[in-house]
Amino acid sequence: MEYETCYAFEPQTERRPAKKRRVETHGLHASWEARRNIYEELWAEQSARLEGLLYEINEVTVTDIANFVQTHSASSRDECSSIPSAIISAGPSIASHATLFQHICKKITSSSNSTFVPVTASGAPNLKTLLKNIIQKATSSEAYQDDEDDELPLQPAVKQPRLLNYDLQILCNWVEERGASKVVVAFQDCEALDGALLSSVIELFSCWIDRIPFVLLFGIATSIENFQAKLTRRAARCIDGQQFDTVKAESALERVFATIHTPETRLWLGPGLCTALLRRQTDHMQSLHAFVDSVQYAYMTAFYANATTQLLGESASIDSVSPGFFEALRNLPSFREHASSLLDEQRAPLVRSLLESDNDLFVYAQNEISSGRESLSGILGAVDVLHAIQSCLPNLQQTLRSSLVVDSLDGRLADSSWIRNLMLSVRRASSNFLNSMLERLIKLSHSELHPTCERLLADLKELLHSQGSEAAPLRSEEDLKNSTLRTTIVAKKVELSKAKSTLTKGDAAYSSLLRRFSDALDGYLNSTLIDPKTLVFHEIFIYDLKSPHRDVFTPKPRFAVERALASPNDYLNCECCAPKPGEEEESTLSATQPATAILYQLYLESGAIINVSDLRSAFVTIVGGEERDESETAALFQRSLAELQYLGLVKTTKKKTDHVLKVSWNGL
Amino acid sequence: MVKRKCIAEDDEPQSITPKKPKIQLFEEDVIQVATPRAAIETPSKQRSILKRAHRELDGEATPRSLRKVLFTTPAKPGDEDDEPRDNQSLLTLARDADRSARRKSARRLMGQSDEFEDIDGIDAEEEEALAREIIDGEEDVEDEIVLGEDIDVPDTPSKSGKLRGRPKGRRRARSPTPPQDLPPHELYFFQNRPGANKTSTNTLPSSALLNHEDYFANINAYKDPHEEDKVYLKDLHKRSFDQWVFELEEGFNICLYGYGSKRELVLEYAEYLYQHASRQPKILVVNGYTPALTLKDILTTISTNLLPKSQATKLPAQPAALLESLLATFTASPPATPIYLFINSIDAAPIRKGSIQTALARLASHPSISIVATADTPNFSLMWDISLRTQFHFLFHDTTTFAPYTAEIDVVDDVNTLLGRSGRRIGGKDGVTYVLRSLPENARNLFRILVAEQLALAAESDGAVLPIAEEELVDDDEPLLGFDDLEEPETPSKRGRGRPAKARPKPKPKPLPSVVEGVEYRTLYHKAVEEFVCSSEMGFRTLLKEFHDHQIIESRKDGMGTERLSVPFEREELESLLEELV
Repeated sequence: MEYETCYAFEPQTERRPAKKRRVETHGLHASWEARRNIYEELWAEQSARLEGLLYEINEVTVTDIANFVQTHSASSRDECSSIPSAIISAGPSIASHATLFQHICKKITSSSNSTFVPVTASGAPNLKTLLKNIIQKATSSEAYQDDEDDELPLQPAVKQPRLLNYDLQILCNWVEERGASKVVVAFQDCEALDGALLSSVIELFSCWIDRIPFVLLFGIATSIENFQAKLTRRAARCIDGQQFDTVKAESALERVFATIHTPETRLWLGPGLCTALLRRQTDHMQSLHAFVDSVQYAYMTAFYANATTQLLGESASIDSVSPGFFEALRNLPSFREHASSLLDEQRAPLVRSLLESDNDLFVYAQNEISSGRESLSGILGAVDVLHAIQSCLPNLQQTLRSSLVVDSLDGRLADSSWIRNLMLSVRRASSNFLNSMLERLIKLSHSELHPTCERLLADLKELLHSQGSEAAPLRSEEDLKNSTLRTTIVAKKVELSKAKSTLTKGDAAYSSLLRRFSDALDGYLNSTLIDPKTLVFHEIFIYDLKSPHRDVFTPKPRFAVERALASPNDYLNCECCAPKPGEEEESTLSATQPATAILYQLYLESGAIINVSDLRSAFVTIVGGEERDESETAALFQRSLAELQYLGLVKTTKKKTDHVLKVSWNGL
Repeated sequence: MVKRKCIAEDDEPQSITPKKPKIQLFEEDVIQVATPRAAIETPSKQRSILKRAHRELDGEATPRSLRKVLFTTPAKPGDEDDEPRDNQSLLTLARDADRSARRKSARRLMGQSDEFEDIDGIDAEEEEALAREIIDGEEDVEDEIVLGEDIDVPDTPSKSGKLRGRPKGRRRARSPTPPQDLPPHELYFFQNRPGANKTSTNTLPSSALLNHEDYFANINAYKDPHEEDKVYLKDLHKRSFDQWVFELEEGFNICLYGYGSKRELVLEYAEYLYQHASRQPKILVVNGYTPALTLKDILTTISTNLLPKSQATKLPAQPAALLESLLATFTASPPATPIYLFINSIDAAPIRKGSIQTALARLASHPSISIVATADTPNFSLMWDISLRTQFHFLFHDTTTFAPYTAEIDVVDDVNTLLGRSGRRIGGKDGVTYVLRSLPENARNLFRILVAEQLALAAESDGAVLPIAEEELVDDDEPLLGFDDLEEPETPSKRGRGRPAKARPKPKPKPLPSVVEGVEYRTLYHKAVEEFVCSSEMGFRTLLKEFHDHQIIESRKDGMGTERLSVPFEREELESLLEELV
């Protein structure tokens, strides 16, 4: 079959009945089915949230554009020759454009009697092809495939001469037949389209606007000025444009990221993974969908590879676990640490029961996990509090919530300089800032700070009321404006001393109130912002492995191939090719290595142009011993050379006889 | 990760460890004969200056006799080097430069005849030409004693060094050993520096490359010592089969990369998938490496295997329309069983094109189609831009297998094409004669003319860079005919015929063409008409068509856009072919 182009696969053996198939899994993997169910349940929740959010993010823009299309098609039918156009500045992340246009397409085709034609630069090499594509897509669009479809076609063709397939008359006829209210042509990537081509299409459309109700959408990644500069003046005059802005990619990412961790989340993504995901998003301009994919893959790997995640299920029972489950649980590093700390606390009976009774351990683990999740959501609440406070303080450098979350999950936030700064600014805040802060915090209902805040706010209101409404905001005693520098000369020495200027009574009362607030805040943060790594069983509900993601989403195929050829021992792990202990780590040529690997290493040593004859003699020197048959070596050489060419490492050259060009340099 | 040694090295090669003992010998000799005289350094950078200086002195490169004098004694060595160096006029400077250039060029010529020094593709030829000029100039201007006329046997370097009184203590010998442990980018620039590509002119003996029969006999008999390790490696990959099933069922597609053929692994996976998927799948296999593969093949395979016959026949024939309607059908009525498309070598040449990749991406993005693709080349991901990549929705897995690419590569033909010996494809010389035997007389005659012309051209272009010894034999006045007699006494028809007898006052060194560039279409036609092989261009075309069909000739456009025809064989083979034809 290997020389057929394509064929249907015929299995060698018959498919066994479904019941028998599952038996062969053994060990920890036996519980995979159960875990898979948990995965499906959890991911379904998460993905529903994420999908909804993805749709929501663009919804305002999409609705605006749909409305625009709606209104313009009805009125401007035969007024003028300018084409109603929506110019969508979709931002520089090109990857998200496609999603946006999909949403627009869905919205427009569902809401009105119109056809949507997406155009990309790849489908528009020249005017003819572009028109042909537009006509083809418009006339074949799915929205119109009604039941009475079959009788319609071919009737006008009898009367009229056959039209060329890029003639807009076809589209015109089609519009009349179907009574389409508009034809929406969306140019998704205007930057990639040829300016002259775009201009001529627009001019052409403006000639037909009295017969075909065109509406144009332009997706631009840069700026309107740039777009306009691209068009000819005549084409620009044909456009009756309106600008639409989309949500910036960064803020959209923030929102999506915020959805990943909610208090109800059962599987948390660890700080390392989050950092990697966010960085990949910003560095590689991925679409938000790619981000969602990464999150999904994190869920998949967490449940696939970790048998203990079975505990995350709602209805986990002790009977359903796989054989090695408890052993695995007892060997978790966090549990070991926890056990030894319990021993230090003189709680040996508990430890003993955990080690001896599976049942006790199971219940204990379930409790610990739910309390661990609670402390995680506590952390999240603290982050929300901090984020709210930060947004109330004007002079503070604003930090993204996502990075706050990542830092707090890493346990670094509690004693970071950022938080010290924040507390300092809180202590200096004047009464109106405190007021807004407290109001914000009360809205975040879930925090422990809630009752304190309410009390404080009441006190503050009272205090302010006693001050009178028109008075200036009260100042804190630590505010710089309230202290003065005093210079005194004592025994011919200048003494600088800082002294608090006398505080008004109101200020003093406010200061004590503010101190109460900052102390409460401090206490709250200290109690909640713990290091999640100290939680027992955190391996189960925090997934923080970066390597599967790295391997699967950002592979290094070239490195893999080069490594396989340069040091085959890394893969084969054979005794014969292993570097001798005395030698350097670097791979060395030896006759036992695979022939292609040897040839590749010789190839690396040679210059940009390689004499095959010399390459061959070098190869023969290494490979061919006395016992080796000469023609066998020749066959190996031939095969290796062909493989190098197949891998795209050498190229043929006409410069010299029997020479090849070197194409790739190792490590470049 | 591979541990990589990264040691910064200073530029100069600190330990010269030549690979070939020959080179070492040469260098020792140089050191032996070196005399401690003051020397003018001639770094290679000065080459351009040299050229100018030479021209300024000589006016223009006057035609010179072909007679080469390689080794001459310097007229008055004392004079040469005792000259005051401080107030150098332009003239003396030029002369000095000239002189040292002469030394260098003599060394170069000698090096070539000894094959000690490697000569690179283009630069070498230029340098050699320059060298020749300089030597000749020397001869004319200084009127020196000719030491040897017939230098058939290359002299030993030491002798020649003494004879010409090779000066200088310090010689900037360029070591053939590259500096070790350069970082990759430095290595790139080092190996691509101008004049760096010095390779020998050795050619492969014709016995070095096996034909199909021998190759397969040998490769099948070959016992791989790593058999067990490879099986073990494959078993490691097989352990992730279950994971892949999960990933596919979650809507991802899979791309396998890494060195080694992954075809076997993929087929085993297909088997596994068939047994273990929760719903019985439909699996289609596409072999991307098969040269005849087109997008239409893939699409029709899908439609014939997955749609009921009544539906399949109704679909349009154009690939683009077919794709659209296939996708529409699958969307309208999703197939009950998941469809798996296994694409072997998705980056192979037949389906590497953007249009096919776009179509495959469209297929991949459809929810009821899953793709398992393998990629062999290291840079395959460059095929896909961000939108294609999003559509493909790939998860990548490193599955290095070290398995030979038995189905993917046609080893014998590929190597022959790589080395420009595509003629071997049709069974070599014997194949051609076999083909010719079945052709009419006229066709045979035309082929003979073509071969003869090609040989003549080869001789002509070769003549320029023939070893000196051969040129020495030739009489100055008619070198060309002399060559002809030497080279091809068996082509009587060609002598005196339309080929313009170029009077070559001096052999202009040309790059040695690896493959003869071929006979011009027009020329061949006129010859054919002259010999009454054909009477019209129409007939001529028909004859050529026959050759093309049998792949015994190749045609290509040269730089000027004229069509050139050639028989894809090496010279010896052509000669013996011609003997048989006459």
